[in-house]
Amino acid sequence: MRLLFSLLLTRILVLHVQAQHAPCNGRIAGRVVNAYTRQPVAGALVQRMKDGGKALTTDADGKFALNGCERFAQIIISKEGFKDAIYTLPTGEEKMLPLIPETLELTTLTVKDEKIGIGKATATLATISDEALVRTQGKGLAESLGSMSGVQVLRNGATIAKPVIQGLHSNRILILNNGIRQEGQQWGLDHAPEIDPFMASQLTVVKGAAAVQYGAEAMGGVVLVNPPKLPVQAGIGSEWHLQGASNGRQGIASGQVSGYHGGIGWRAQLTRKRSGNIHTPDYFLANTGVSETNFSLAAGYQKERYGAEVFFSRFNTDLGIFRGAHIGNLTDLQFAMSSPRPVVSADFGYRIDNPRQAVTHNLLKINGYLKRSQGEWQWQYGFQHNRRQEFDIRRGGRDNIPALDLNLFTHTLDAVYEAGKGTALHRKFGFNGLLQSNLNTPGTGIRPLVPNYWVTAAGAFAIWKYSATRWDAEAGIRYDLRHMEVRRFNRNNVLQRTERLFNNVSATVGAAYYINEKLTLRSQLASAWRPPAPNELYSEGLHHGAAALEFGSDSLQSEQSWKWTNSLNLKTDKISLEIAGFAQYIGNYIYLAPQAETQLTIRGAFPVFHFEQTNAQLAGADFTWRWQPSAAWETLLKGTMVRARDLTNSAFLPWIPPDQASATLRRNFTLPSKSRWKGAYAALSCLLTAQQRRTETERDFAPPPKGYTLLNFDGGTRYEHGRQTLHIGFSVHNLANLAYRDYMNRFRYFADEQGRNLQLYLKCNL
Amino acid sequence: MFNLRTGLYALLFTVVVLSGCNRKDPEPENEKESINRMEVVFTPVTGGASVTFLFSDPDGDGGNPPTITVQPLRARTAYNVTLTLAKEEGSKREDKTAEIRTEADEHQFFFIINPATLMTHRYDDADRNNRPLGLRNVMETQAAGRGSLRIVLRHDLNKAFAGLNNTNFMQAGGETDIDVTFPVTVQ
Repeated sequence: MRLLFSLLLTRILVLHVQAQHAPCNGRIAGRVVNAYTRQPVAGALVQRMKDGGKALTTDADGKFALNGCERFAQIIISKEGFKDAIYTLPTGEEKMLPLIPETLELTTLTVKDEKIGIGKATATLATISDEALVRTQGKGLAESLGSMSGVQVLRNGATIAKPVIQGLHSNRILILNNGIRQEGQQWGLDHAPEIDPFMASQLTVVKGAAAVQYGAEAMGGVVLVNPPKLPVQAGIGSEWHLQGASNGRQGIASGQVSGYHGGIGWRAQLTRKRSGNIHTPDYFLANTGVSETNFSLAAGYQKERYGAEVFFSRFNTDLGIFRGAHIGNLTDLQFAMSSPRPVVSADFGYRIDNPRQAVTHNLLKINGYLKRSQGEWQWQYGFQHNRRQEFDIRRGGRDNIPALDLNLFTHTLDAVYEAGKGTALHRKFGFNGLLQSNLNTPGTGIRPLVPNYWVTAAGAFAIWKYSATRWDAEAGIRYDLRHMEVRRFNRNNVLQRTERLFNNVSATVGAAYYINEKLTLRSQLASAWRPPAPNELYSEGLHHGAAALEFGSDSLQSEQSWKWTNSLNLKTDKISLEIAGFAQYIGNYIYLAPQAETQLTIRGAFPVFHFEQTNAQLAGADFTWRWQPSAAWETLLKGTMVRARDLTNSAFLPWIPPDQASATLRRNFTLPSKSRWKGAYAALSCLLTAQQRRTETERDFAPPPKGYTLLNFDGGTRYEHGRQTLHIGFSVHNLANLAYRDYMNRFRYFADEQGRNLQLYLKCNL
Repeated sequence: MFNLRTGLYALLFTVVVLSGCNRKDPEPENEKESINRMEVVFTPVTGGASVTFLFSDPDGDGGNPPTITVQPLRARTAYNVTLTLAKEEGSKREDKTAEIRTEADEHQFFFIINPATLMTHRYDDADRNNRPLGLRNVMETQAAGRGSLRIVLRHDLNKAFAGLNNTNFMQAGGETDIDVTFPVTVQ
């Protein structure tokens, strides 16, 4: 690490000396096109960011040209009916610059190559932003992501949700919160990601292994949560959200103010969310309230060639866990499953009682960049503190003492050097360092579920991207070293110290082939790895919610995976189609293996599970098909399918999402062009979920629930007055108020899913 | 630039030092709440030697299996039956009965006798709302025979549940803290 730093510093010194002024004869040119149709956009305003000088307009072919002496110029392109776009362009070559139309926002967009940096050019991506994001933000991060094809949701009742990317979740996917690896207690199936979706302006899912760039755990996919860019133009802007939902009588208020003064861009954001007991079509779910308060602050100094940014965010939630799912033993579980409605009845209320979780996540990020003609240096430091307190129903007035109280401190340091941007051979080299400590707060009166541990990890990677006229090729390699020290008490209260060392090489190779202007084919093969999680190593005893005795094993090895992803994109004037397929092999796949015997405790007999390793195989496909026959009508079809097998034991893997498909019909209303009301629409969608038949019946407490069909409605419009806009939206989830259960909800043994939910949302830009 | 370099080294040094000096040993948790021993003492109402049923699992859930010891009961005899709960760790034994008695309005024991003809059960104690608790009971054996006695302790149940008894208690909500079955011989 020391050597790498010296090298890094030497480079900075050398570059500094070499900085000289070059003669001024550059030309900055580009061609502006519609991101969907690839048709040229004429009459778009093109303005240089630096001086805010004279604006040019594009010609009939979408082309423009500026004179400039810098090597890179930042420009802003604006055109009515399209979103503003900011591009950094190298001089001397003409780039294709896509603009995203404002009307086509039904759900997910596929990011085109121009917007994708190195390391993702050949991967399968999906993003959600703007109107589609506003519609789902109030439901939490996982539900926002779940609206993309290939992403599903694993729930723990109404209050906890986790994203599942192509069949994998928890520690097998990675979430990057504003560029920093989210380090919470992800191993828990009932631990939701600690991120406020209102902080983000865009969510991207990389549906492939991206371990070379991001390190361990990025096996199934990577979620990128990106806040808006800091302003670079003088003035103050703000964005306000107000949302209300009938089910749970939820209210959300979120505001964001940003500005730019004296070279410094800044932003402050605050979200407050409160909801009470959720209602299924027939009854209330006791203790399913949520109270959330989040904020973030950012400030940055950005110049074309150098800049730095400071970001701080805090996420704070207090959530109730459905009382009817709290069980003491197997008999309780069987009784709960046999009763058609939960034994614990409830009325509406906002009160949050035990069992509950109180989680706080703080993130501090400091990053900077330095651009040179030879290349660009980027570095970032992140500090995270995750505190998780879980309160259980206890005896002897111990209700206010947490049953689990974990503090996870993580420092990360990333340094990247990128060269050859915009040339045929684009290179990226990087270093990642991580220091982590997991500390149990003493005094819970309960043996810690996971022990105190310290992790020191370092990794280095290199990625090359070669671009030709019709295709891009990418290759990357990475080496990781991870040291873990554990201090824990064994059953006889004797202190034990264990050290483990993991190391791993990951690699990726891929290509994107642009068959013609409308058709693109991408294929990528990537390896990834994951060290065993602390619960897999050290669980030892009763898992209350699961009514099972679970035992870890500290001899578990790292999981090794190869994932092959392929996608085909078609974009024409009226049709956009994306088909993605994947196949994945995971060696040393860690899973809970049921044991033949049951074990007797004072609470009765429990089934026994051991964390063991096997080899697993996953394969699947997803597609998104959008057809817009006219300006008034749009249709959207989506589907997702995953198949998973335990190869060693020839069995099915548990918690794999069932097949899903959805169809949406949307009507866009044309209002008089002089009207300040714009973009009115109404959409009806139908979501079909099949029954998961690929399960091992004897390993589950109950058979998988039947398939179901949900009807949802949403509609909206916006009012524009100068630069100010007001978005108004209304949606109904589960229009038919259907009582159903979902295989991917761990509380499906106990209660139905939530009933009809009317939601009203307002978003105002000032 | 020299400052930047010094700064980076200082950062690296700080991080390394911090990571090293924070590594304190954890403190062991005293699991005061857990119960791993239940004693059921049958004392004949008319006097005489008492009989003890014992469930003990000193290493808690998992680990070594618990020990269950029983003795035969006499036929057609009324017994005062008292329950004692404790947490056992090594040679130490901490009483937990008082904790249940303090929270009597949140707890209740249930006694499932199989076959029902083996003996009868009635509560001999009550909480402050005059609802049964079950730490003290009276059981009367019938004709000689074999069967089982299952003792269930429910926590946070609705004790006002209409007609709450040894067969329908699951419907009153709450959760199970103890569920132990003893083989019974009446001779």
